[in-house]
Amino acid sequence: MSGAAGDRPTRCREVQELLPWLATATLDAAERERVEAHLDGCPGCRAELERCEAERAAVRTARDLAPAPHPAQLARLFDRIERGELDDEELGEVVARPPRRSLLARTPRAVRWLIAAQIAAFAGLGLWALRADEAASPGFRTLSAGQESSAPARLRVVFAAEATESEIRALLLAAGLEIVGGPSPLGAYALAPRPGGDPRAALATLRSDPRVRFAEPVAGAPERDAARP
Amino acid sequence: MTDHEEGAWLERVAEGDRAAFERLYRAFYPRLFGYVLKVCRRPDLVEEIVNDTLLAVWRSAGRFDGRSRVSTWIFGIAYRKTLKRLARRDAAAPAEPPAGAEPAVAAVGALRLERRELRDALDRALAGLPPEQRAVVELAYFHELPYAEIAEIVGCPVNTVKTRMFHARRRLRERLPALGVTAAEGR
Ligand SMILES: [Zn+2]
Repeated sequence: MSGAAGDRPTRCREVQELLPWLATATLDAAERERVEAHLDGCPGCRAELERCEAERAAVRTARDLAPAPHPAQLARLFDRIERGELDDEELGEVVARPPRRSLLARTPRAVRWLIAAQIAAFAGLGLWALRADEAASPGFRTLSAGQESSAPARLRVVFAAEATESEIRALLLAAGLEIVGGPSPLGAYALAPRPGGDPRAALATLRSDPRVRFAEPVAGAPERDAARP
Repeated sequence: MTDHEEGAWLERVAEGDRAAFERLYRAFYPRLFGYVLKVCRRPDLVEEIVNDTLLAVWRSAGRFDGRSRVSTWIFGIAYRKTLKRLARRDAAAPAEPPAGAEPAVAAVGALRLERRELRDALDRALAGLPPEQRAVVELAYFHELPYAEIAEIVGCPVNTVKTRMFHARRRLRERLPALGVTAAEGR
């Protein structure tokens, strides 16, 4: 601990900026230790911590019960969804789009290879539409209707992080599946049965395999097309 | 719902699954309601802002990139919706409600008197802060979020979060010097 009187005010300000988070126990261990070391020798900051604790207690006490939504509100919201309310410009302003690493960077390496191969195979066909931003097209169907060269996706799968490319390849071949889209930001791939394949048997195969973390059929979204006037 | 479950539900929402959306809606509505109310202090606008937020969630679920928690992402949308709504011309209203006329969202019921006094005093003190500072106070003290996560929600550097909190607390102290005593002893 530096006891130099000269840097105390700076240290106190720094420490006091962190005290609210010491009071809620959300500092990481290193920061907490630094702050606590300072508190040992600084009555002023100790008093400040007490004040933070009182503030926190007051904020948490002073609370009305949050209401549950009236069912009519949800119904109205679905009406607005049908009408296609809320333009994209507004959406762009309120939805955070932090500078993002490429999706591939967050995908297991083995899967990246597999995907690279798939992209090469399907380049130009618009099959990279596992999750179109606008949910206008139902399910996983591709953008170029009538030009589809591959079956619509039937399954959604997340592989274990440690699965290797050869394991995944073998698994897909055994299950009679091919990748038609993905990965989604959460790492899900869209799969479709190869011609003659049986999606149910494929699903059972996937679910029994330890390298598959998650597998489920793709839900159709029929109602959303039945737009009201 | 755990973070992981919320992610799974959001993914289904992105596919247009209404049942998943309904579930997410019910889970988030009360949380967002309390948060938005504390930030904007406008009971007349809260319902609208919360519903607009959840509509934006429906429309943009596919943009969620999985790098933050689902709740962080949704609270961020609510934060920007709230500021945007307050900036609209027709949002004009007395910034500070008259003393003693605090907006009651739900019946206070059997809260003890001293608690009620504390609540009113705190509400009045918070009313004098800009919404950006109220948001940080609310997220830090009520939701008990680390500063890094608050920075993600309000979309600014962590140092700004710390500074906002510091200034907010300084102003709270000016307006409510006896907080510690009141809170501890209930007078
Ligand atoms: Zn100090």
